[in-house]
Amino acid sequence: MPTREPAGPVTEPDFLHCSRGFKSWAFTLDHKRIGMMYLFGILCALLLGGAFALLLRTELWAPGKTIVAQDTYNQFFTLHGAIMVFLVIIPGIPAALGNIMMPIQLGAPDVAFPRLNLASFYLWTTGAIMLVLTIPFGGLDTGWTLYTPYSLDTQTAVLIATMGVFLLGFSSIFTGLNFLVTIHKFRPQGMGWFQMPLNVWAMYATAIMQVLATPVLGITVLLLSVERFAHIGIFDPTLGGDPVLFQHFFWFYSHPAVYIMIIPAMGVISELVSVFSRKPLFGYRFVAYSSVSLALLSFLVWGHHMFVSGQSRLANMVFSALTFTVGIPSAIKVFNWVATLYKGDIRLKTPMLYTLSFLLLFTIGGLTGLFLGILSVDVHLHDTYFVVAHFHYVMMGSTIVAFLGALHYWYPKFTGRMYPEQLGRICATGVFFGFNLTFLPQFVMGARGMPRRYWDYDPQYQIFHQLSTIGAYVLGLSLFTTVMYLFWSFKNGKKAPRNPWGASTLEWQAPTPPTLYNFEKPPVLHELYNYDDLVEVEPDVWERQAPIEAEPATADAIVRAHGEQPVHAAEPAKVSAKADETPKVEPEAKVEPTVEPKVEAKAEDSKPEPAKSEDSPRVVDKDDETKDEEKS
Amino acid sequence: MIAAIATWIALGVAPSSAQQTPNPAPPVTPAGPVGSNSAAPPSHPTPAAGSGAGSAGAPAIGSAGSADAGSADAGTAEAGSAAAGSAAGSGAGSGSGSAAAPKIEEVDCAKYPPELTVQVVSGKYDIEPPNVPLTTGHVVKFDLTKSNGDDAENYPPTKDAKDVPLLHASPSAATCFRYNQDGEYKFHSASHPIEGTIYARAWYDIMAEKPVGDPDGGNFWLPDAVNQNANDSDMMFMTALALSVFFFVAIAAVVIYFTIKYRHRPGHKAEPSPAHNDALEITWTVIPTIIVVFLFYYGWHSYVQVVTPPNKAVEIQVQAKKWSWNFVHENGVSDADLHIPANTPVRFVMTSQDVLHSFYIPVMRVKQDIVPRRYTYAWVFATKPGTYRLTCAEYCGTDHSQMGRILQPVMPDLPDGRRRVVVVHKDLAEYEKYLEDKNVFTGTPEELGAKLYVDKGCIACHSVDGSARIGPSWKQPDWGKEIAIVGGTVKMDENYVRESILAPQAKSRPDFTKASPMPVFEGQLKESEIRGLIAYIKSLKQP
Repeated sequence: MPTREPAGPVTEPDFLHCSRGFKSWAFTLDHKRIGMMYLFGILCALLLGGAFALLLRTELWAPGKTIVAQDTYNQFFTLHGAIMVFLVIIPGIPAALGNIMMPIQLGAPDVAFPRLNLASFYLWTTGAIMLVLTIPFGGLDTGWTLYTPYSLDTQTAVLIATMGVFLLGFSSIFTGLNFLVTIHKFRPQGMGWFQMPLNVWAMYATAIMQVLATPVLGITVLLLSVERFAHIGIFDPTLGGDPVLFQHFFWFYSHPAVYIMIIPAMGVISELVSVFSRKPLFGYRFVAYSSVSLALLSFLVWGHHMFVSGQSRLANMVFSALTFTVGIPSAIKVFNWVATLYKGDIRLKTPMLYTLSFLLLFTIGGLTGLFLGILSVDVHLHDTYFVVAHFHYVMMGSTIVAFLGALHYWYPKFTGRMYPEQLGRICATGVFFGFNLTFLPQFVMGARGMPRRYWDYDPQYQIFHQLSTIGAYVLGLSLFTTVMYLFWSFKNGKKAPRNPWGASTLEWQAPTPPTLYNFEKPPVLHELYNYDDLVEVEPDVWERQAPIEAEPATADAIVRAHGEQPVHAAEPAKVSAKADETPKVEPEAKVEPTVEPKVEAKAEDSKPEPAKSEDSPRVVDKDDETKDEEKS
Repeated sequence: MIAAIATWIALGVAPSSAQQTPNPAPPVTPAGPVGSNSAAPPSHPTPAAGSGAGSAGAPAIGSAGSADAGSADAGTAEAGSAAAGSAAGSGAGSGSGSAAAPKIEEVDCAKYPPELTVQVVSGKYDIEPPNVPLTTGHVVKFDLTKSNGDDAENYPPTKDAKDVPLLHASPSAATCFRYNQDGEYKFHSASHPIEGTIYARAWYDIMAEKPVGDPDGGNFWLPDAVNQNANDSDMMFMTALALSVFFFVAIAAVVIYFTIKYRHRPGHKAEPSPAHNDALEITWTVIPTIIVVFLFYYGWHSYVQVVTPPNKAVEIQVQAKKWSWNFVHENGVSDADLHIPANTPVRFVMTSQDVLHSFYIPVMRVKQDIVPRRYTYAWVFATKPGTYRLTCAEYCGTDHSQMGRILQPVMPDLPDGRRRVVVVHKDLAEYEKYLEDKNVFTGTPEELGAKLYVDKGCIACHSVDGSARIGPSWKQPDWGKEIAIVGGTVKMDENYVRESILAPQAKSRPDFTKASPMPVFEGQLKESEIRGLIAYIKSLKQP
């Protein structure tokens, strides 16, 4: 295994170039490489799921048959849903971007269990292949929800799909477990819980849910599989089973899964809104707590998917009440993000455009959730396009949009390349308008009684369906272009500097792209979300210009992992001095990011003027933050 | 070229206007004063013989054993089976007949004003076989008298024998026929070049065939509900909508304002501002909390209304399966369209025969999943008569989106078939009329008799195995022979059985005089039911 070489000095090659060949990726234990493989797989799945979405939207252009017959259409929406949920949205931010960035944000060299991480990726790959293999093996027409008894009756490839979902579930559990341990154990000295970036908080909350809820999904799909081939009579009503029990099991996982999808999105949005407003996040503590409280509350509201399933009235009442309690932290988070913009210096880079889109779309997604929480209104709206539109606003409009924002935000860091900014902005705008055109008409249709999963429909809805289909094509084109230019920029983008956005979290202290163990020297912990010292020395190149004032910390974990003596960053290690050390460069890794020397040189230049930002106003918020630190 | 034109003149009641009114035809009674050349709807299974129509075959085709293309359920067959009920079924002589009144009977044109006149005058014969939609119970007048008579030789008889039942109208005089049951009836004249098809449909089916639509009124988001229970939930919807629009506009306005005001431009820097503010944060926690508590409470309150039917409600059993509906009413009538009365609480007891379905009437805001091997419930209080969409809202496979679709190739005005619908009748009386008219037993007379044996309670006093109970057994090996009665003998035949049902004490049998007397059934049974009972008793005579 060539990838676990000890960390070298500054001139160490970055993780993309430290080793080559198929095996160096296939057997890598590096969290960034694993994350990038995840990312590649997820982007492919996004395109595949998107293709199914466009096919089904095309079919709905007119009532009756437009391009395909009923059964094919049923497979379209099932595969669209299953691929998007299990392969794209659930692993999107945690397994791909979280894997790449979360350990670096902690200043750690890797996740706690690198082999488990690789195992998780292979489980994901196998699960994904099985899910896609359902297409040649008879397809899947149950809807992604796999409701019994239909999923017991149908002739399609339910077994392959459930096995795939089972493996994907374990992949998710492994990632969650890994992250929990990493966050508990790999924080650097000086980083208490309330000095963690909010993205890490969100990952933590997500990991709790992944570990606690996903086993239920595993059990459920396993029982479904056993019921299908051995007829044990747990879900099959003809054998005395209870088909509604399946819904309880399924939503006991799948409702937390909604939060597995949205909480990481909230985490990255908290980062982005702060960085691109050049302001500390408003109400850090509340946002941190709310991630965890949402995670816990999410276990208590699964019944709101079943208000008309025949569940008892009392259960409906309790679930309705609990559902509303989930709305409150979500609402306050939105207020916090909006308040962060206040008096900021808002830079409308592509990630910020996605962030602003998220704010508006998540607001719509959240507010329309109110309708569905009201029991009597849900009786009318349940299983209509209103619900479809609502959860697309949350899953697609919020999670995927946040995923895209985060992807653009961190893309320069882990690829070492910039994406084309102007094209990025155009596509972000296209995603926003395309998305709204697709799903706003669906709210109207739903309120007017258009049931979901319909191949044929009443002509009165045609105009809404056509608007929706046009929107879907705008959205699809924007997403396709985005994925394409991201692939293109990987080789051809202009070289990225160390800190193109002026962000203060630790990953931006790592080289671009990071070295194998992420940092060439232990990172220095600065005050979280304080941008006073960061100055844009030239477009998209930011440097820290003030002397380090905040309580310094070393990444102990790194040091332990590297088996070296702790080096306190309080004595800011001179970059030039470090560079004198003998570089332990692997012979084949000759490529070195050209930006780095420049950045280092700038850093040296800036050091002689330490007092400069002493004058800069660091006022109230800083004091508060410090108090917070003391309290914790 | 000289020929006749068949002209179709709809008098008064076109099919569209016929939908408004339930069957106005007078009831058929045995003693009904029908015209000279018309047979009374009989107590005997050979009706309408010797009618004035003169030409081959009797026009009335209705009793047991008739080969009948337009059988009573042709119009209600679901998509898959509709074809089987169409015209080709000639010769299927047994079992499909009805015990009810004859399907077609000739009536007196003077007493039964025709809804429609089929007229033949001289002219060119170039029409397609016409399709005549008609409401069951309505009368069609065939008037061939105005033809100039030269058609016959120029135009040989056009019909082949497969087109049954044929209707041969009299060439010499206007003849009127009444169509008593729904179905497809071919007609032609042997002497005149006319042929065509009459589609008789029950008035309630015509109501169901009306195009569905949302009621007028309401707003862009929510057309008016036709369910009284839905008023509160609609109000909650509008409240939530108002709140959502308000908060969205407020948040979006702030986001856009901040983005513009604090956008980055040369020289602009972020200004310090508090990283949190207790007063502000408490405010924006408390206000949403109050709002959601309010929404929860009223949502729950209106939900209780939506799911709690009053004690006294019309009850309808709903059976769902892939991919059709079946609604069974309190009197046993079953139909694939849902007929309910307006301004009356109606409760649904629902179950599925296969997978999950969901009973969803959008305009009534009522939705409930239907689960196999379990009953679920819903109820409505419809406020406005009309025809509304009925949908399945829980994914159930291939034809989920077309659940309850019927293909009716026989209906010329519905070339693509239609969906099963909810018909809200204007009042309970109209609904009851539906139940009565729909309650046509479609089995054989024997089967009807066997059913009545249980339903009417005959089973309490009469056995069917020859053993004596309070009354004589219905198994009578002496059928056709003289049997002893008090003060004489009587021939055990249809007439005696009929009399013994309607007036049991008239000719009592000696062994059965002491026990409590049998109730009098005069006026309580329909003619078809009496026929059914007789047929059943007759069928038991075999050892």
